[in-house]
Amino acid sequence: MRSRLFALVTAMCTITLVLFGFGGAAEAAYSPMADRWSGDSVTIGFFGNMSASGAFQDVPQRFAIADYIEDLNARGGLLGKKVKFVWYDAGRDALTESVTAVNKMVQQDKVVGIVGPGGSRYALPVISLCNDSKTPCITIGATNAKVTVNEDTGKVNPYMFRVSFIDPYQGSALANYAYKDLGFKKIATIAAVDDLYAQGLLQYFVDEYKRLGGEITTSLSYQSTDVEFRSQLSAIADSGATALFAPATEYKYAAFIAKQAEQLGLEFTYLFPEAVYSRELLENAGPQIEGAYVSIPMDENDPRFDDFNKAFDAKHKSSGYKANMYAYYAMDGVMLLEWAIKKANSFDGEAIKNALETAKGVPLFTEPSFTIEPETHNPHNKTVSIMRVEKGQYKLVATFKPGD
Amino acid sequence: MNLFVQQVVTGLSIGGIYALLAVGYALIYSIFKFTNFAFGAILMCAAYGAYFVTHTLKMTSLVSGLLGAVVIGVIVSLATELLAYRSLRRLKASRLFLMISAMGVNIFVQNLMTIMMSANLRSLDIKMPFNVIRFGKIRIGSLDIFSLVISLIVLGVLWIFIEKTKHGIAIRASAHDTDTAGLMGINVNKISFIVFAISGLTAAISGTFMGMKYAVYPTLGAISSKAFISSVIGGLGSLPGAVLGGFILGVLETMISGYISSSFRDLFSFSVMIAVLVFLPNGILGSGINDKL
Repeated sequence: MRSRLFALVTAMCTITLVLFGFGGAAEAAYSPMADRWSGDSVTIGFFGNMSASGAFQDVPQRFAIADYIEDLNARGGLLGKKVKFVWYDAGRDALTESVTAVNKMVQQDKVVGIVGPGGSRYALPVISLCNDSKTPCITIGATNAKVTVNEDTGKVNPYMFRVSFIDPYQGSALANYAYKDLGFKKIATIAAVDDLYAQGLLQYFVDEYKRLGGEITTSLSYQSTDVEFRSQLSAIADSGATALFAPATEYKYAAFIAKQAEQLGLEFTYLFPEAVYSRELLENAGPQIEGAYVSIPMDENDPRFDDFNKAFDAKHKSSGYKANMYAYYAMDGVMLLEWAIKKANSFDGEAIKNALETAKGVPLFTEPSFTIEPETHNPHNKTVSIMRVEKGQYKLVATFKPGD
Repeated sequence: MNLFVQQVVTGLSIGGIYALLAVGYALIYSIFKFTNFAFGAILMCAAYGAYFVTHTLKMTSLVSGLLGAVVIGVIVSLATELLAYRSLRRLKASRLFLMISAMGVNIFVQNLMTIMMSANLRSLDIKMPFNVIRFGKIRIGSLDIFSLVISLIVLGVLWIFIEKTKHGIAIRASAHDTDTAGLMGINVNKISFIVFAISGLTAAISGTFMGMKYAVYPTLGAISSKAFISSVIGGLGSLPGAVLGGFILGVLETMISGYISSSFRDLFSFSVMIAVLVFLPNGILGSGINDKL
């Protein structure tokens, strides 16, 4: 019996070593760059949240990229090669699953570039992986400033790019709009204490709001696993605030907050960031969300997206997901990567990175003239639009541009 | 003072849901001496049952929503007993394996529902006769009142059933000593069916109110971990203990979130649980149970 047990343990250890030990050694070195385009096809990767409650952002992104690549192949592919698309789900655990996904994409799938992820918590863990493996990663909605610029050194993360605006500007735009345009001199805040996106955005908003002369009546928190907010909402009402800034990472938090405030008979004017923007928020929160303000990068009601929306919704009807601005971000990302590969005339990671740094006036899906700032890898002068919920619809009420 | 009273009211309403959930846990534990971690999945499936009735069949009254949830909740609970637990009990498997099986069921059902229904929230729109009652500055939502009243009614009926009926006596006898109860002619399999049906019923009622308060989605059942803590605080296996634990936890969490910070909420909740286990190993109202899972 003991010898059998010993044999079993030995076999398991051997298999583990073969699968992970030697694989790990290979990971550290990375395979030659040319392996990525040695065949008659190249691969583009995507990862994000496909299964948890934030999937309404990332699943449409995956569909949009897959559709675009299908179309790209119909047009002859990239530099004469067919383009394959791989994607991985990191929804269950952003930190570990994102690293696993990028490792697989680099080592196993040999991707020439990554379009995604859509959220900062998925992008932040893979920065060093992308830099070390020289794999360009164009994030499509990750707004945390640290995704592209190292906070400690102030230097740009060479292989990380983004097509979205960044939190400092979004927080500042919302604070200015609340204080100057809406005339709120007092406001309360509620944010997830364990979420980088929420805490970063909260800090930028509060700093700017206070600088303008506004008063934060109370700052309350919740945990990302929470569904119950009535205790905090009662305390917020008691503080005398009539406006509430909630930098939530998913629409479900916004829906819970609005519904539970209504259950307590409380009325606030809500200010939310782009992460909650979705049709699902309107469907779930219902009339309670009327009059809320949401900052977003582009207006989904813009007629120039109509054809895309119709085609997308028809093709993916069975999935239950509809076209949304996250899908638009994905379109921007994949079109930017296509442009960079063509500009570089190469699939080499460094050449693509160099091309991306020179991107100026590139026509993308949402921006007719898109420019990357080489020193930050952020888009130049990206628009922030403020939407108001009116009669169950988002209506554009203001736009901000950093350069204005 | 107003805020304090408001927080107590909110805490009691949350505690009512915890109490109902904790009773579902306590019932199973009292008979089979294992913690049914599949309870969250049953609750979530029941909430989808309520959603189906109100959204697809367009029957938007509270009664129809609850009925839809109860049908699904009881079916899933009984299916869990038949497929995941009974065969293990026949094999005289350790309670540890029953608990692991329960965890497996929970993860399996949650993932299955994610694949089938997507992770999106679904709003459970059930019409209520009024919205909010105000007593000066104190506001009580209709949902809180209904959830608390119906939870208390269900708990009362359950107490009468267990204390006053023949099947209730059989359940208590099985809870006291399952093997001896079997030797005395009690059909333990039938009792287990009744217990899992009641557990499904409490999960269904909790699931419906949680679906109304929050939304229906595949991880809705995650909140049942709070019911487990309530059950431990009150005394695993003790129904009055489960109710008491639920209310204590509901009020405690609300006070901490409202007056200190939600960051400290779980710290306090688990500290209380540990303190109770240290000083009262059987919980506040628990009977002499030597080991707890």
